[in-house]
Amino acid sequence: MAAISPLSPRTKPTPAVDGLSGLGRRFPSRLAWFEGRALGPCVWSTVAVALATLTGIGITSFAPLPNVSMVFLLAVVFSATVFGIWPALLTSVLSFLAYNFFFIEPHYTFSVSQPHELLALFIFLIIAVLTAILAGRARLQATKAIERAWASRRLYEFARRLSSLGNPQEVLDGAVLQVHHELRRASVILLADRGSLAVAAACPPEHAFGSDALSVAQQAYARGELTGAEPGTAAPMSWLFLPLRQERTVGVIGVVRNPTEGPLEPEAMTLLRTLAELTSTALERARLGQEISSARTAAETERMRNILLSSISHDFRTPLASVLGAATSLIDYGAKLPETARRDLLVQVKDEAEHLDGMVRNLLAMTRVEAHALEVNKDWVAVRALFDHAASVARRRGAVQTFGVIVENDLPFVRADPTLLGQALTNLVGNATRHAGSKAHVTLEARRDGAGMLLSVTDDGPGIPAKILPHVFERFVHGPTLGDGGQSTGLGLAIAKGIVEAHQGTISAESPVEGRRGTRITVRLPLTEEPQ
Amino acid sequence: MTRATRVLVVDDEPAIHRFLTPVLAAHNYEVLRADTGADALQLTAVDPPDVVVLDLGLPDLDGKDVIARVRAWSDVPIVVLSAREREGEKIAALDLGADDFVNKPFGVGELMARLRAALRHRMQRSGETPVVRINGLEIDVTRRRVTRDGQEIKLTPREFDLLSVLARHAGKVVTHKHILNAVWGPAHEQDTQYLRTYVGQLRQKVEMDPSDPSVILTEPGIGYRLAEPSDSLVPEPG
Repeated sequence: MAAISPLSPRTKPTPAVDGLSGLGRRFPSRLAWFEGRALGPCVWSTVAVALATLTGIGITSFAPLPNVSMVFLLAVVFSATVFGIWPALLTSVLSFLAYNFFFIEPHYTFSVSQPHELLALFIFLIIAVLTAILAGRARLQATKAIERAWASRRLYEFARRLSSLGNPQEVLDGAVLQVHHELRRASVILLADRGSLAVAAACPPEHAFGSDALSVAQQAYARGELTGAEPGTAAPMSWLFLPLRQERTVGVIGVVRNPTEGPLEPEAMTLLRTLAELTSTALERARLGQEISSARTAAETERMRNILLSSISHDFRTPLASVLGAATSLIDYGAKLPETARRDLLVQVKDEAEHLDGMVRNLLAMTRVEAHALEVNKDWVAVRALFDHAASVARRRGAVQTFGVIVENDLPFVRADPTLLGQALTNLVGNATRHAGSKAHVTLEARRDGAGMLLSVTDDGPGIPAKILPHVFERFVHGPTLGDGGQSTGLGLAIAKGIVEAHQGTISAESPVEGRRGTRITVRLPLTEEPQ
Repeated sequence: MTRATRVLVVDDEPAIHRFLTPVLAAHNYEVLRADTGADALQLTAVDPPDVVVLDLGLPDLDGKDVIARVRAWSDVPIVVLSAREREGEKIAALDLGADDFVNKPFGVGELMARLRAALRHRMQRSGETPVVRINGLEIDVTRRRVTRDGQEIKLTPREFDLLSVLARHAGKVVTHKHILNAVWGPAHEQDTQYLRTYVGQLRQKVEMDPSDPSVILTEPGIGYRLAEPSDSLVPEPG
């Protein structure tokens, strides 16, 4: 019957007509009955009286019933039960008139000839009115009970929704929306930040919020109690604020109040308090949740730092040991050593120093990848040159494996940062030589694939254990090493991934490749049109 | 001249072999190489070396397991290589029967000294009770006499017991536990505070400069070591 618009806070509350549509109808204006929407009940009440009259005439034409007035009471009870007190009172008056008109001698006049008839007529009126009031009140209470059930159900749902929100801002937004819905008033939440309040959420968001309202809010926050409820404040539109309190007051929740109306109705007030309480609980919960998750992040960072430190100290120790060992050999026993041995020790010092330099560079690259601070200076790059470079770096670092380079004919240049992509490929080749064993064959292959280019590094070593395969691109993941030492920071593949992704490419690992052996790491880079 | 002293180097890092091999060869050691614990066990069983240099961090076996298994059939001297901060690991290795340790990274001179001490000790085992001479300090374990430049130094019986334990292992590390057990008995194996007190007293008497000890050296967290005797009974091979 009455469609309720939930959005405008200044809509007049809907009269108590249609059963269960909203809390708004819990606070009807007393005058609402006289407005347009009360017309239906008036018509129906009149119809009921007319029916009662016809029934009464029908009955008396068959048998002389002494108390036809009972039939009219039925109409009153009907009206009270279905429409409430005011239509029932109307029914009472109409019944009184109809009874007088049709059934009291002289018929079809409003005059009464016998004094006792007059008495009976007034007793009927009193009974009718009392019936109307009693039945109407019963109806009112039943309606209220239903409304309360609905209200608590909505509160429950609100509480549940709030508690599912992990973000304080979502809680605040949800809360102002709910208050706005329930009380049909503009609502706002202000949170304290170092003593001063600031609007954290409002519904409707564009609602004017003046400095006078802010001072009322400050009062509510400072006192920690309801403020702004006193009637008669000067401003035409003022606010009413409740503190949001958990262990301490964190802010205030406010609704617009029309000063001419006086304070909120008690039920609305209770509702507002309940909503405020739910909101502050949910807010506290969300804040704790955030604290926990940031603590977890910090712990994870700490863990990564520890892994990094232990990884560095472990992986740097071996090259340092060889530098120190070779140097002390030369210092203490150089004179006893043949020329070739002396030279080899010097070469070892140089090699290991380069190795250390490479590890430091990888660590720095990793921190840049982590911080998303890779500087990509793109240029047109020939893949074959990168492959040759990667293989020669590996040989210089003592790789004894055989290398094969396969590059498709007429392969276009690729748009990439030559230094970074070179480092990524060097890391892939280094990874292959470290894990595939000294007798392995490492193949570097490049070919077109649709709109992209595939670069792959394949070895015929023992492969990556299935347990490690999904994690090979994570930091500090080491596979089993073979042959020429396990000097790695566990960062090589992670860095390669970071570099490839900085080029809008993807990287993947498969193992085994052929038979039960081999590992292939494939990089896919997008191809750009070459300039003419 | 007997055959060259054979040293087995067990380490999975090729870089370590790369600098150790020429230096050891220059000192007339015959160098055997093993990259894994399994290889090391096989070599010590089939072709026993005179001394073993063992890295505790091996890819296949825990270095401590290698010591335990070798000790089941052989008393070949074992010098372990281990990271400086891993005292627990070194103590465990010494308890299992390793003779000495060198912290990684190490200077080659230090490793050479440990090898000499380990070899000398093994050769003395069946021989004479030693007289240890360190820069004018002479410790005669049998006659319970300590002299510096001919002047006798008075020691209490406890002090002498302590010094003689170190002298019997001159040049080698002796763990706290070992010293306490030998001097105070098994009931006092944990009482390192005794040890610190007595070592302090002993240093006052035998060191030239007690604040900068050159005779009784501290191995932090592990034990003590008497400096290498100046007139080694076993000269360097070759």
